[in-house]
Amino acid sequence: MKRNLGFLLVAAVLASVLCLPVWAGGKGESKAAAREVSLWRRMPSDLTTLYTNMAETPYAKEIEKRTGVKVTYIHPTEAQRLEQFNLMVAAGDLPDMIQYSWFENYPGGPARAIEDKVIRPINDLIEKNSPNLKAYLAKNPGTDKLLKTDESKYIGYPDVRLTFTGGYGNIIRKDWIEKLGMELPQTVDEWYAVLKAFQAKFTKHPLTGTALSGSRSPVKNHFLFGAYGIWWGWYVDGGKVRYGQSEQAFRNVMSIYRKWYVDGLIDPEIVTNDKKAWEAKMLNGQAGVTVGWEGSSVGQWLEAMKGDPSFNVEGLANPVSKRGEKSFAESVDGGIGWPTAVTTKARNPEACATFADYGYGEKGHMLQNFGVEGETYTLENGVPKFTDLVYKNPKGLNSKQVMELYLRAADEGMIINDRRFQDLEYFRPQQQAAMKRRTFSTAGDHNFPSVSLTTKEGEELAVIMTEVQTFVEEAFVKFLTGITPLEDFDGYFKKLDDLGIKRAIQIQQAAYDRFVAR
Amino acid sequence: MVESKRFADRIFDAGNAVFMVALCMVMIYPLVHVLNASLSDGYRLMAHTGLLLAPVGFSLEAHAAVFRNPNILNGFLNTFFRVGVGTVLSLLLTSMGAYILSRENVLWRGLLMKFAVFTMFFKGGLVPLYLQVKDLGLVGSRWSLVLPFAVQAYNLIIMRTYFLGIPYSLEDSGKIDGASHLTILFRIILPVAKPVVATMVLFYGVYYWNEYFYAMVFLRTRDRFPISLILREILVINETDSTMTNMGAHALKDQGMISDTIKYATTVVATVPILLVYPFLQKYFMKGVMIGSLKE
Amino acid sequence: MSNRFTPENIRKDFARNRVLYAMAIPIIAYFVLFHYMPMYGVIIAFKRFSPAKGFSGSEWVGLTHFVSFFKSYYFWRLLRNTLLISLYSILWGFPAPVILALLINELRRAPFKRTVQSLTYIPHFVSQVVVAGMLIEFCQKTGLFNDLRAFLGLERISMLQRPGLFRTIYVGSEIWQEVGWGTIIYLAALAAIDPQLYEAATIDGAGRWKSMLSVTLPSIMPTVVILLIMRIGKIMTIGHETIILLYNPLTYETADVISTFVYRKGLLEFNWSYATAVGLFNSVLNFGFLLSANAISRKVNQTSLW
Repeated sequence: MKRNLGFLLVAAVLASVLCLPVWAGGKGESKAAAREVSLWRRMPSDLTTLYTNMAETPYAKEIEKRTGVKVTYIHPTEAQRLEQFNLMVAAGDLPDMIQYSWFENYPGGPARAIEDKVIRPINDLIEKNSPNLKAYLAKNPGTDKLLKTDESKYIGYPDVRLTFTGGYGNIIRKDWIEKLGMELPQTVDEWYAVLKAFQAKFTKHPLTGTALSGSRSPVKNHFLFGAYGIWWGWYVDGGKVRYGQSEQAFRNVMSIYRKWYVDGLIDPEIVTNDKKAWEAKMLNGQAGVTVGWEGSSVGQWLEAMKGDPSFNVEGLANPVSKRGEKSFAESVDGGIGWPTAVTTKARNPEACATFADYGYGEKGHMLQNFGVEGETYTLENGVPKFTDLVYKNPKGLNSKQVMELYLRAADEGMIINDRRFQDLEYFRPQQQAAMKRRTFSTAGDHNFPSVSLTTKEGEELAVIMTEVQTFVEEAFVKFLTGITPLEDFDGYFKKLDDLGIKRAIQIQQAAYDRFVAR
Repeated sequence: MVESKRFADRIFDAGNAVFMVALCMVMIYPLVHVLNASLSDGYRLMAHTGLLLAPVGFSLEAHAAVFRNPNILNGFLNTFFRVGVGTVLSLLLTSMGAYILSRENVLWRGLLMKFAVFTMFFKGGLVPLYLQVKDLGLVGSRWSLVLPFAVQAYNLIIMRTYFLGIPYSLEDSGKIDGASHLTILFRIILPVAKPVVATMVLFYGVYYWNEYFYAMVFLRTRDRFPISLILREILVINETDSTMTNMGAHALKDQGMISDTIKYATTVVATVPILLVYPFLQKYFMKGVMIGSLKE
Repeated sequence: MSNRFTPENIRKDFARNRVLYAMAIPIIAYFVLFHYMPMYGVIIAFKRFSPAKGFSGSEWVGLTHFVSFFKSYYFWRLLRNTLLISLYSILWGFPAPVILALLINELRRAPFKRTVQSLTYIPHFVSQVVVAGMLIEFCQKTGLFNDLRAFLGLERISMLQRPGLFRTIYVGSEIWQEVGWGTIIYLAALAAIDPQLYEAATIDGAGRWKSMLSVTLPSIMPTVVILLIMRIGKIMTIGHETIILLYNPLTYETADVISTFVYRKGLLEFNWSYATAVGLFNSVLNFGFLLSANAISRKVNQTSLW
C-alpha cells in the first residue's frame, strides 16, 4: 500500500510537470523603451559561422550609434525561413519590422499582408518621419510605383536594386578563345562556331550547367531565348504579358537547342548536374561555357585556379540575332528587393521609421554601400575605394564576409544600391568587362514586375502554374534529349492550352494593368 | 554426414565474413568521404570528381573554422541537455507505457493502444502544436525540445512487443513475493529487457540528437540551438539558389561563398559524438541476457 | 461476443488495476497535451486558412482543396508513383535489415561481430544532402556505378536520367542508409532468445539452418510482424527531401510523388490549407492500410497491435 501511494505521488508530480508552464524560457512582454525596435531578417549567409546574431556586427553597432535606435535582430534559420515566417504570422508573434521576400513568398504579396493585418501601410510614416525616402520616391516614380499597392498604400521600406546589374550571365573560358584566335561571340551563329571549335580542340561537350527545375540554367534563362525575342517564364512585351514557353518562337529555340545537343555541344548530363558537378567540369576543363554569377562563380573560380596561369574565365552578354543589337536580357534586379515592412504590432512605429530612413540619406547611403570612411573605404577623387580591410582582411575573412559585416550592399537592407559598389564588388578586369557588355541590353524594358493578385486569383494561378511548370519542365528536357521529337510541338502547345495557360496569362495581364495604372 | 555439415558451415562462415567486410567498406564510405572532404583544401575540392579516398590538399582550415564558430559550443551544451534529459524521461515514460500495455486482464488496454497509435497518423499540424507549446509557456525554453516528444508511439509499440515476449513466470514470482507493479517493472522486467532498453536509449538518444525541425520551430534565439540545427543551417546555405526563374523576380544578390569544406567539417563534428555511443551499448545486445533470471 | 465493459467489470478492473491506471496518467497527459489538443488544426483542410484570421476566423470552403488535388492533371501519376515507390521500398527495404541481422548474428568471432554492427549503421547518420551528392556523382557517366558497368562490359549511361531506374536508385540509396540502423531492433530481439532453446534444438539434431528455421525465426516473428504492420501504415509517407535531391524532369514520370508536387506548389504559393488537405488524405489512406494489415495479421498469426 505504501509503495502504491508513493507511486501515485510520482505520477501526480509527473503529470503536473507536464501541465505547468514551468521553465518558461520565453521573455516576458518587453515594454518598448523609447527607441527600441525589433527586426526580423535573415542572417547574412556568410556570417552564420562567425556570429550568433547580427547585433554583434560592426554595422549594427555603427547604425545604432548614428540613429540612436536600439535594434534587436531576430534571425530565422535559413533552412526553414519560409516555415518560420508562416508560423510566426499564424501564431501572431510579430516583431516590429520584418524584412522578407514578400512578393515571392507571401501568398498575394504585401498587398494581401496589409489586408490580412499583418503589416501596416507606411504612408504616414513616410510623410512625417522618413524625409529621405520621401525625397527619393518623389524623384523616382518607377520605384514609387513598385512600392505601392494598387490602392496606393506603401508597403514598406525598399531595398532599391540597380536597374540592371549584369552580375549574372554567360561565362566562357577566355583562354580557350584566345588560343583559337577567335573573337568573343555575340550572335547565335558565332556562339555555335565557338562551341564547335571548343569541341574540336578542347572537350567533347563544351556547354555545361544544370537544367534542374528551379535552378538557373544556361539552356533556359540565358542562351537562345533572348535572341528570338522571348524569355523563359513571365515577361512583358509592349504592354502585353507573355509566358515564353507558350510562344511560337519557343519552337525555333527548342529546335536549335536540339541541334546543339545532337552535335554534342551540350553536356548530356546537363539535366542531372547539380552545382558541384558543373562547377567541377568548368574547373577541370571538361567544359568551357556555362552561366553563373560574377562573384561566386567567376570570382571564386579565378581564386581557386590561381595556381594555373592559363585558366581565365570571363562573362559575356546573351546572344543576339544580329551583331550590334542589344541583348534581350533578364533584368536581374530593378525592383525593390525584399522590402522591410512595419508590422501591425510595432510598438514604436516612429522609431522604426527613424531607423529605416537613415539608410536613404546621404550619410546613410555611404554607410549602407561602403561602410565607414577610413575603415572600410576611402575616397579617391570622390570615388570610394575599399581598403585592405575588405580585400586583404587581417583576420582571414573573405571579402564577402567583411562586406556583410560592415555594410548592407552585399546582402539585403533598407538601402538604395549604388552602382559604384558593384564596381568594387566586381573589381577584377574580367568582371568589369562583363558588366560593360551586359549593360548594353534591353533589360528593364521587359521586366514583369511584382504585381498584386487577389486571393482567388492567387489560388487559381498557383493551381494552373504548378501543373504548367511541371509539364513545361518535362517537355523541355524531353525535347532537348530527343525523347519527344520536335514534330510533336503542336501537341505541346495544345496541352499547354488544356492546362489553362491562357487563363494564367489573363490573370497576370489583369494584375499588370492594375500595376501600370497605379 | 556430420563432416559435410561442418564443411558447409565453414563455407557459409567464410562467405559471410567476406560479405561483411565488403559491406562494411561500402557502409563506411560516406563517412570517409565526409571526413576526407573536411580535411581538404576548399578550392581543390571544387574541381575534384570521383571517389574521395584521401583528402585533396590536406588542410585543417575547415575544422579550425568550425571551432571558431561561436554557436558550436552552445550547440553541444544544448544538445547534451536535450539528449540527456530527454532520453531518461522518454525511457521512463515509455517503459511504464509498454508495461501497462503488456499486462493481461487490463480492460482498457486495447483502447489505450488505439489511443496511442492514432496519434501516429493524425496530427493537427505545425501551427496548433506551436500554439499549444506557446500556451504552456515553453516557447524558447530548452524543455520545448523534450516534452512534446517524450513518448514516441512507435517506440512504445516496440517495447510493448518485447515485454509481451518475456515469460509470465518472471512476473508471477514477483507477485508471489508481494511486489507492486513498480517494483516488478523496475526490478524484474527491465533488467531482463536490457536489449530493448538499449535499443530505446539508441532510438530516443539519436532522435533527440538529430532532430532539428521542431527545434527551429520552438526556439527563439540562437544560443539555444542544438548542434543539429546549426549543422542543418550550414548544409543548406549554399543550396539556396533563386527558385524563381521568372523575369523580374527579385533575385537574391550574388550567392554566398562559404566553402563546402566547412559543411563537411561541421558534419563531422556534429555526427562523430553520437556515433560513439553504440559501441558502449553493444554488450546489451549479447545473447542470453535472460538466463540469469530464469535459473532458480 | 458479449460486451466486456459492463459496470461490474469496470469496477472490478479498476480495483484490480488502479496502480496501472495511475501509472498511465502522465503518459495519457502527454498524448492529450501534445497530440490530441492540437488536433483541431486539421480543420484548415476544409478552410481557406489566413494566418491573420486564425483557425476559427478563416473562411470555410469544404472539400475545395481535396477536389483541386484530385482533379489535378497529375493526380493519378502522383498516386501511382507514391504507391509504387513505397511498395518497392517495403518489398526490398523491409526484409533487408532482417536478413542482415540474421547474418550478423551468425558471425562467429565476437570482436568482428561488434565491429560489423558498429560500422553498418554509420550511413544512417550522414545527412541525406551529403549522401545524395555522392549518389549523383556515382550515377554520372564517368561515375563509379558506370565504371562498374564498363567493367561488366555494359554501356555507360546517365543513370539518373532513366525513369525506369529511379525506383531502384531511390530504394537502393534508402537501403544503403538504413539497413544497418534497421538491424538494431532485430539484434535486440535475437539477443532475447533463450539459449536453452538452441541447446534443445541441437540435441534434437538440428544444424544451423534448421535451428534458424525452428528457433530463431519463430522467436523474432512477433517483432517482424509488428514492424511490418507499422511499415505498411506508412505506405503513403514518402518524404520529399531525398527525392528532390535525386529527381529531375526526365524522371518525373516515375519519381514525382505527392509530397514533391505539393512542395513545388508550396514554392509558388504557400498554402497551408492545401498541404493539410493532402496530408489528411495521406493519413486516412495510411490508417486504412494499417487497419487492414492489422486485421489480416490478427487472423493469420495472432500477432497484432490490438
